[in-house]
Parts: sequence; C-alpha cells; structure tokens
Amino acid sequence: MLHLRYFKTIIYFMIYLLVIQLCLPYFIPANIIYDNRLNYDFVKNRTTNIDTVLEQVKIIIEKEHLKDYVVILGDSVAYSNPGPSDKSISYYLNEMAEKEERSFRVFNLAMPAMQTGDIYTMLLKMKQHGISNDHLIINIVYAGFVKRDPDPPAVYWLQQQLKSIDIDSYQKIESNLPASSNNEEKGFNVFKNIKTSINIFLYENISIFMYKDLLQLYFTEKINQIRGKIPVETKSVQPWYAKDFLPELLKQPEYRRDYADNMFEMDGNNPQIYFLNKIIELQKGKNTLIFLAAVNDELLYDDINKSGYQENLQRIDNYFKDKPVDYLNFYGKIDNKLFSDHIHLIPEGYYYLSKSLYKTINTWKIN
Amino acid sequence: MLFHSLDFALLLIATLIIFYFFPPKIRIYLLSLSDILFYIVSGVEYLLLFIVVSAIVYFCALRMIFDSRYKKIYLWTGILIALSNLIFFKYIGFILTNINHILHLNLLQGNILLSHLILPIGISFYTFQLVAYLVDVSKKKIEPCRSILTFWVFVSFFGHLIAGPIMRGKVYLPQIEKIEYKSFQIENMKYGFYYIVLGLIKKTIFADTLAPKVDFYFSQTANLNSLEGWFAAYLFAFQLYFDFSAYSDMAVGIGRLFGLKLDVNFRTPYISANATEFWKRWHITLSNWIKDYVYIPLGGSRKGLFSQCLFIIAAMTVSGIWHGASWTFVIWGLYHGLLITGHKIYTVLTKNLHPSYTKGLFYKIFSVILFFQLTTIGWVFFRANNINEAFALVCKMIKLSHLDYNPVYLTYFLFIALLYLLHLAEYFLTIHRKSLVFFWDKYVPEYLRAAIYTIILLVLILFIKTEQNTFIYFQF
Repeated sequence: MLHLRYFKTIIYFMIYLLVIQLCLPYFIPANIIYDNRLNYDFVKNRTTNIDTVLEQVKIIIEKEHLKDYVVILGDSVAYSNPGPSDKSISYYLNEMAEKEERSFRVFNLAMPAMQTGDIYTMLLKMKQHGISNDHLIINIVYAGFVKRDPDPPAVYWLQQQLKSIDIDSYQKIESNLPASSNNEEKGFNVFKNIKTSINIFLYENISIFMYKDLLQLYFTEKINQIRGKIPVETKSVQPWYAKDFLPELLKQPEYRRDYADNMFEMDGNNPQIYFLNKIIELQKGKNTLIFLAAVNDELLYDDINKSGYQENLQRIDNYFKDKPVDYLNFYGKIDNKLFSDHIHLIPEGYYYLSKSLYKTINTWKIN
Repeated sequence: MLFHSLDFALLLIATLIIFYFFPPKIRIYLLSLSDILFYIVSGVEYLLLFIVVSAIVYFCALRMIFDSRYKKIYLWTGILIALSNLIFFKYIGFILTNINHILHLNLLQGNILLSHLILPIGISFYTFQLVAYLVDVSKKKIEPCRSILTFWVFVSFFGHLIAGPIMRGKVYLPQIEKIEYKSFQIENMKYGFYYIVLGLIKKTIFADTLAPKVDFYFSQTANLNSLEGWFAAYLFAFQLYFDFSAYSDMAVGIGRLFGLKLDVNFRTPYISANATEFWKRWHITLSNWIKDYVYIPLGGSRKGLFSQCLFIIAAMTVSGIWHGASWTFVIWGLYHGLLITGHKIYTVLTKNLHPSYTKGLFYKIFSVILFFQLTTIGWVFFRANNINEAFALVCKMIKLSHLDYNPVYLTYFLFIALLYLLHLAEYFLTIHRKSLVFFWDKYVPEYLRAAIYTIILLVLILFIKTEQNTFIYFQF
C-alpha cells in the first residue's frame, strides 16, 4: 500500500516535470532575452543560453505566423553597440519595413565579439531550431581576416556547440583555439568531459535549466520593482570626438592587432576564409548580404592609409567578387561624425547603415 | 567537491547504484574508492598526505594493543604525527608571524615554501577524528580497527570528510564494519533525501543569497554606523548557520542513503538561552570533542569552580584556534569561554536561591533574546578581516553612538526578524517531525505531494549558482 503511494507520487512528479518541460517556453516573458536584439549578458554569461534565445525567437515566429523574416548575425557592429536596443539596426529595419507596410520582420541575433566561426555555428543552430536562413545579413570586420595568434579564437562563444554539431569543422580549427579553451578535452579527464556533456545536455534541452537564467532575471526585475528600484537610464551615446581617451586606447596592443597591414592569407588556412566558405556554401540559393563594417578613417588615419592595409581591403573585395552573395563594403561610405569610436556608430550612424541594408533587402524576393 | 555540485551528484548516484545493486562484499572497496575520488579533486599530494597520516594512526592504534608495553609511545607518536600535520599546514604561518612580531625576526621573508602552503581541505576535521580514535583505543573504549579499508572509510567517508560531523569510533566504526549487511530501506532513502533537500535549501536559497550582502558590509566595516554594524553581524550569524548546518544536514542525509547514522551537528542554536546550551546546539560534535579530549583531561569540574572556569576558558580558546590561525578566532574562542564561565558562575550563585523568575516563559524569552545578541557580537570576531576591525565594529555596536537612523533600517531589521522566524520554524519542524511525517504520509494526497516536490526541485534549480559558493567551514 505504502509502496503504491510512493509509486503514484513518482508518477505525478514525472507528469508535472513533463508539463513544465513542454509548457514553460510558452509562458516566458521573452522580451527579457530578446528585445529588438538578443540580450548579450544573458548569452555571454552562459553560452548554452543561445538555445533559449533561439527557442523564443522560433516561438515568436510561430505566434506571429511569420513567413518572411531576415536574420542578422555578426559582432558588436551588427549588434549596434554601444547604443540601446531601440536604436539598433534591427529596430530601424523593422521600422522601415513597417512604414512601407511590409510584412517581414528582422531578428537580430548578433552579439559582440562574435567571430565567423560563431556565425557559422549559429546558422547550424538556427537549422536545429527550425529558424529559416533564407534571408540573412552578416557583418564582418577587417580584423577578422588578420592572422590569429591564436587570439581571438575563430569561434569565440560557441566552441562547445560547434564541437557537438560539426566535429569536422571543430577539429579543423582546433589548433586555432587558445590553449585555455580546449585544455579540458586534450587532457585525459573522462570525468570532466562527462560532466561538461551532462551540463550542456541539461542547459540545451531541459526547459527549467534552459530558462533558469531568464527566470532569475525576471524575478530580480520584479523584486526590484517591488522595492522601488528604478533601472538606470542608458546614457546617450557620445560620438568619438567627445572621447579624449580614444587615441591613447587604440595604441594598446589588443587594438593594434586589429589593424595590422600584413598580407592576408585568403585561403582555407585562414579560419576566417574557412568559415566564410562554409557559410556561403550553406547559403547557396538564399538571400545573403555580407557587409564589411567601416572604420573611422580620421581616428585610424595612419593605419588604414598604409599600402598593406589598402591591399588587404582589396583582397577582401576580390574574395567576394565571385561569391553568390550580396556584398557591401562600407569603407569610406559612413561620415566620420557618425562613429562613436573607431568602428562602432552612434544611433544616427546605425540608422544610416540600416537604410543602406534596407536597399539591398528591397532587391530580395521578400514580402 | 561541493555537495551541491554536479560532480558530487554524479559521484553520489554512481556510488549509490553500485552500493545497492552489486554484491555487498564490494561495498567497503567501493566506498574507499569513492572517498579517494572525492578527495583527489583537492590535489593528489594532499590525498597522499591524508592516506599516510591515516595509515600511521591505524598502525599506531594496532600496535597499542599488540605491544602494550609501548602503548604510550604509540599513542603519542600517532597524536603527534596527526597534530604536526595540522600544525604545519594550518598554524605554521601564524606561529612564525607572531614570533617575528615578538622577537623582531625575519623568519618569513623569502620563505617560498610557506608562501605556497595551502591548507589541505578537511584537515582539521580528520585530525580531530584521528586523535579521538587513538585516545579511545588507548583508553580501551573501543577496539582498534583490524581492517585498513574499514579504517579508511571511517576517517574519509565523503559524507563527513570535509566539514564533519566529527565521528567517534564507538558509534561509527561498528556501522562501517557491518556495511555489507545494510539492506536497501525506503525509510533510509526518505530520511536521507529529506536532509539533503533541507541542506540544499539552506545553502542555495539562504546562505548563498546572504553571502554577497555580508561580504559587502564586512568589506567596509569602518563606514558602518551602529545599526548597520548590528545588521551586518545578524546577517552573518544567519549566513554562517545556514551554510554550516546545510553542510551538516546534507552529511547526515548522505550517510543515511548508505544506511550510516551520522551525528547531528546542529539543533537550532539561536534559541539557546545561555552559552552552555548554545554549545549543546551549535557544532555539537566539535563541542563534544573539546569537552572529552581537552576540557575533561585538563581536569573538568573535578578541581573546584575556579579551576573549572579556567579549564573552560582554555578549552574554548582551543576551539577558537581550531577554527583558524588568526587572533580573531582566538578572541572568539576566549569570548565564548568567558560566556560559559559567566553562565556557570551565575548558575552557582542562583542555585541555592531558586528564584522563581528563572522558571517563567518571560525569563526564557528574555534570556534567548539577550544571548542571541551576545552570540552575534561573537560572530563579529569570527567574520572580521582583522582584530582591529572586529574591536572597532563591536565598540560601535555596543555604544550605539552613531545611530543615524534611516527608515530603511526598519525593513532591514524586519528581514532579520523573518530569518529568525525561519529558524524557529525549523525548530518546530524538528520537534514535531514525527507527527508531521505521519500527517504527510496519511493525509497529503499523492498529486499534492508531487506538486510540492516539483516546486522544491524547481526552486533549487533556480537558486543554484553557476559558480558555486564553497562552504564557509571548508576553510577550517
């Protein structure tokens, strides 16, 4: 009798867990993790949270019965740093589409420091979640082509995810990953590997783990509201010429690397080219716009006017010449006044950028 | 390896499955191996050191019986080796620093070995358990353990290795010796999981939530006013209790899963009306150890009240030093020694008077409230970064000089009251456990039980942090 009661309790317990597993994603306030663009902190602190974001984006697509939508992938430029989400390129693109009563929507899944390896992995993850890559915008930067030593790694955020989805690609670029990121796997440590695998499984597949950080954010926000804590308003974005420290900052070695003028290796040995080739292969027959983010040519005058730098820019242009993608090189096309630093823009700059991107979207077959 | 980590969950589940589903004869080997795996995370060299010290104690105890002529030599060899290990790793820096100060020497300068010395995890606990074992064998309270594996599990069982309870041979060794006869019992599983979940709730929901606030206040004690000082000290009082009792609860629960009954270390200590009662409710296995192996050998109550008071103060100071190599812990131990002595003298003085007021509820409540303030003052020494900070903060708290009242303090102190109510709730839960279990089993329908279990599981998952906070007592 007693054992039957235990058994019944266990059955009920399993049913409740199953209900939570299936229903939780539909009762979550998604705007905490996706508000015109993904919540960077949410993914930065636990990269498996990218699955949570993708699941929520998929739910939005289903709820709104969206047939046509554009996905943006890229780094902090596509993410539209340092401005707020309602001054990002996805916000502006959606606004433009709405004004013209177009029915497509733009989802911005870019995040700062995303490398081409991450973008490729995101495309694979989107496929897993059933998010279409029919209309895609990707941003790249000059620094992405510079030889890695091995920093920054060709896959910065989503190494574990790439390893589990496309082991061949992972192995191909494994030597380009810094020692700190692949030590665990190289060492003979079965226990640690099992632990990592279980952790990834839980946080990628079990709803309560997937939504744990989101729920924590939600409850923290609610508690702060009850306690009368008002969120600090985002300061307006300053243009670069209001930041006296910038010229000195850009002399630091980590920035110097980004503008190196050594000749680019434009074959598959360069992880950037390796992943771009893979992305272009995946995007065959689909609308793809790849844009090269401009730099502030007043702030970086000495660097970008080196002949090696200019030749490298030419090499990037040449690479895209025969590729079946739309390619935009924004060098020299953005007024320096629109920069917030050496590469990022102020909101007016992102608005200008969005207008240019929108022109290309207009050439696509999209409602 | 932390009890609330995935690593430990994996080790525990794997060990439990093999324990109950494989032939019972392998259990002692299994537990020995699991203990090694559990400890190896802290470093192979520390594991080897632990094994060597344990083996020496094991052989010394055996030789005491087989070669009784040299019993004292074996006893003291074992004790000295166990204590030297502890003193070297835990106190050598403290001792040399103080010698430096007193004699104006430079003993520590350029000493690379000392600067790289890390305290092996659990050393204070296993040392005390080894010493107790040797003394008990020498006094013939227990038979020496014949099997080295049984002895290894006795000392190193992962349920109590890192932060106790400090188990005694008399009650614990026979349980391990009969480990292969333990059968799977639902009651043990229920009891075990109850304590594990209780510990997880205390650790993840309360202790870890309070930790950043306590760290914040104690990182700037100079800027605190009197009320903030009290608030910081109260917060730490609850953080420490939730943290350490969480570990102890989980230890008891883990033991139960393997059919082992580990000693309970806490019995809602903040309802104590005096210091003597407090030490019967707080870290019970340590206070029993101090009583049996320090206080009573010193003379206990056999040599008159004055000597007894001195012995109490000495024993409690040892207890303070055991916690950490710092003057703050020495003062904290001494302070509790004085509190117990004060209570002892008060009891003696009022013994013959039989004042009626001491039996009333009001007196009891007043005593509990008063003693809680005294305990809280003590915790300042336990938590402060150094002795000067501790004294400065305690002075501020006692003087109540810079009150600077702010209406927000009312919320702060209501929060403390809420924590205290939770403590009382735990007390009632403990004393009414049997009737509550009966009610739960008989009247709560399965769907409701399952719903409550689900809510608890969800709340725990939500609260467990990615970067797990270690237990405070791991540093001891």
